Amino acid sequence: MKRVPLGSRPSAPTRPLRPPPPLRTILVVDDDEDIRRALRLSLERIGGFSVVLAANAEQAVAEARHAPPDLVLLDVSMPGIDGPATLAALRAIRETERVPVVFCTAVSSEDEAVRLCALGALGVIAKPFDLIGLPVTVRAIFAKAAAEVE
Amino acid sequence: MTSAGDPAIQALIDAARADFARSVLAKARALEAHAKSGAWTDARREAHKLHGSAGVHGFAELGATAARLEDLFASVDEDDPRAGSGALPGGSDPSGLPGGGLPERLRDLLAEAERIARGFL
Repeated sequence: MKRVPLGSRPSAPTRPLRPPPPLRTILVVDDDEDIRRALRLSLERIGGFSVVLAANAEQAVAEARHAPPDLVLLDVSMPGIDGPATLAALRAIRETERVPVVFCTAVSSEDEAVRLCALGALGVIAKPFDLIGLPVTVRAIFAKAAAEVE
Repeated sequence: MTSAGDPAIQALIDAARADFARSVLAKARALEAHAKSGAWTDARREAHKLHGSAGVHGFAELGATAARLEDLFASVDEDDPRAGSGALPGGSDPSGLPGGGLPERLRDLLAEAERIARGFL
């Protein structure tokens, strides 16, 4: 049998390994398929989040009710039920009334951002967003949400 | 999570950009068709989508051109009878849109979309 020098042995853990942090789930709601695909790429492949996609308000509410996400990233301008109305619908359902919502919009004036936050959104992300930088922004939003809970 | 400098991730971003580029001319033509038929709400929606998605994929100029069209369509009063007959025969601008310039803006959009598409053939 080949002897293995002591120094090369893998060291035994001195304390129990911590379980990995739970995967955060983000529900992306946008009627534009290009944007949904881009957000999945950014948040899932680059950011390491779990992403669920919805193309409209009805799908979003159904998905959120079925499995409340940790965050909803919600397009403002959608045909039919728009982003603010979708937020109101989520707030009216017990399972989703406290889910943090962040709006994603191409209209990025400060007045518009203030108006959207006054509706109960945690923040506003401007389009176009940076595919690599977005996960960093989302992590900061999660930190902000955690701070507000504490 | 994957590192931002990961070549595999860069390849995915490049592939998404190429997919978008290959589809952009069809999107621009759809917008033009809506505008030519006076379907201002549909035209505005297409312009809004292009405004957002072009910038995400790094086509800032196309995004800006689409944004200018979106602003123009947003200014349409759907109840104005001039806006309801918004066809653009012969490149004239009978749309009655405030500020005008619709044919020129559409031409800019299509030219930019063609330029992008050619680069990814």
